[in-house]
Amino acid sequence: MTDTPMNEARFQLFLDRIRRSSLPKRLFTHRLFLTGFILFLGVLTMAVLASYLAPHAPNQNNFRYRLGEPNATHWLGTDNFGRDVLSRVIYGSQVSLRIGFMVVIMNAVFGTLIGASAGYFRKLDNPIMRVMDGLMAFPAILLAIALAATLGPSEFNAVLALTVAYTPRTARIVRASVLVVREMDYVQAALASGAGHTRILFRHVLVNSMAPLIVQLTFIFAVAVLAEAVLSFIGVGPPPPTPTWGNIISEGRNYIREAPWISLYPGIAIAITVLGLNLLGDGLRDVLDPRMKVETR
Amino acid sequence: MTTPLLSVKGLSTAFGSATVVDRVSFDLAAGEVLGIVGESGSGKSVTALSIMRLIAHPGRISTGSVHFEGEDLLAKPESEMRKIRGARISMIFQEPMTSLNPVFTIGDQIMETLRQHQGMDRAAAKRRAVELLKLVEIPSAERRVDEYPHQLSGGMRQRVMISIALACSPKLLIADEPTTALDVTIQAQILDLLRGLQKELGMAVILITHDLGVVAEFVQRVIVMYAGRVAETGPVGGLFRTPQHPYAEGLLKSVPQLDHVVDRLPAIEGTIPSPHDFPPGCRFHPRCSYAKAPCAAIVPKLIELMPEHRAACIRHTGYEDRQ
Repeated sequence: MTDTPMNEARFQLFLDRIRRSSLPKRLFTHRLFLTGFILFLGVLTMAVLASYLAPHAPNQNNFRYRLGEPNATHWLGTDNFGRDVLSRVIYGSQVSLRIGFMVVIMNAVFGTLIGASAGYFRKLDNPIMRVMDGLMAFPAILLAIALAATLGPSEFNAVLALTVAYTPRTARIVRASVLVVREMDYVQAALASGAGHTRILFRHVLVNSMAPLIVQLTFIFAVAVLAEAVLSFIGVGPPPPTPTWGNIISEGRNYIREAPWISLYPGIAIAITVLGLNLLGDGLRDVLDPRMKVETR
Repeated sequence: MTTPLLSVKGLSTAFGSATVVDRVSFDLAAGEVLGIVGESGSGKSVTALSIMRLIAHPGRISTGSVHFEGEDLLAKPESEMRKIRGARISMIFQEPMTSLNPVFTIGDQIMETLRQHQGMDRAAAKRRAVELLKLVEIPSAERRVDEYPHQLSGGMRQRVMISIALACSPKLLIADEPTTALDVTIQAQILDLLRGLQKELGMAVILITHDLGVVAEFVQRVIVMYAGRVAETGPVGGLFRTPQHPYAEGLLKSVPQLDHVVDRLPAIEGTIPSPHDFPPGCRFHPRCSYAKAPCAAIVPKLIELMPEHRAACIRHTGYEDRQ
């Protein structure tokens, strides 16, 4: 909160000015957001239109052209089975984004439920958050690897492992903003007009605590894409021959001297996706949370 | 006298070891306008929130009773209280700028109360919302009903808050500093509106304020609170003419008057004590110009000095003429 009335008044003016322009307009005039959006849109298009864009089937072997250099038919070369790297990277985006989306949705649901209960009901706060702290004591990626290894390699288990590993962070962020919003005057006013806890929590508190969550979820998406690659790379993700970016990099690792393109291009794909999502998240944060922008100027 | 609409007896509310409201008692008749006056921290708002049973943890009502239309509010289960809040007792708050949920239209927020308490369908609730906006004199209500709080000025938002409070025709409206955050001209408008609505709808009003000007204009009876206790209570005319408690006297002296030109307004020395270390005896004695030794030892009782006019000062009971 700004402390002096003068600042508060100026801040209100600033807020009003911002609110007068529409949300999409503000987003798309934000350069970081736009860059991130275009990058992510590219990856998304690649995943959706994979069967049209990929020049070959992702698992089609060509033993006459193994570890082949990039050429006119295989733009990004081939791997040790003669499979087209470009096609595998394109199909790999489907798996990565699917896992990313699933993790984001599960995180949103469980993170919100857990965080909102902890933030809104004071008695639940301590028990819930200490369990979350316990989970957070493990580095998230190690926890995910351990869980995925225990559950066995599959796409669903990867999603489950990543959800367990990253939900505590989401829950903490939701709890923090619920703690702020629950003290707002309009919550008090709603109580005074006879609203029950469920209505207050969903209609007044959660709706107004969404901005940090949305920003966090874009970062979770990026982290999930990266973590999925890690899980696949060490062999606890979706099993080969499923083309995931981690699998492709992992399989190319043995031929890194002879055929560096196998691992290089999925690596670049991961980098572009993560960069795009992070820029998107930064942009969203700037636009959805103008308060932070005021302070940094 | 018939049964009062609201009867508060010996109400105490404590936050941990700090008793913020200490044995406050008063009655309120139907249609009566009562002012509760005092500095910040004197326990006015906590008294109001206690009546509504909206004291948040760790605060709790430790003793006393609150009867509303003959029903004991403190004995009711929370689900029953919810049916009373917003329907039979409504409340409006100090900060109109932040008392409305920014993500819903004002119509939505008026309708929320209507639909919850009166089970109206959307269409009926919307019609009623427009009527209510007209009642609180918001121009072009049909258009305004679909606007968001940020499109409205502070005065307009307070009018919306009032319309929400009046949505279910409450018997009692508690207005907690309803004009404090507004410009002086807007203050006057809101007060006029409240006064008009009070007469029109015949509801009782508890007006909490630290502004004696507001009290003089609007209320019939005043309670002056200091450090969680009732210092003085009486009809507004009598209390303003002949304040009996030194604190009420000090408050009245500190108000500028048009016909008296003074260099400096007299102020009450010192500040209100923290609830964690209220002084013993009369809580006002460290700041009181009349204070004598016994003041630090004896907790003065409210004594009826004139009809309906009571004050809690040892001068009226102990060492001076009245016994």
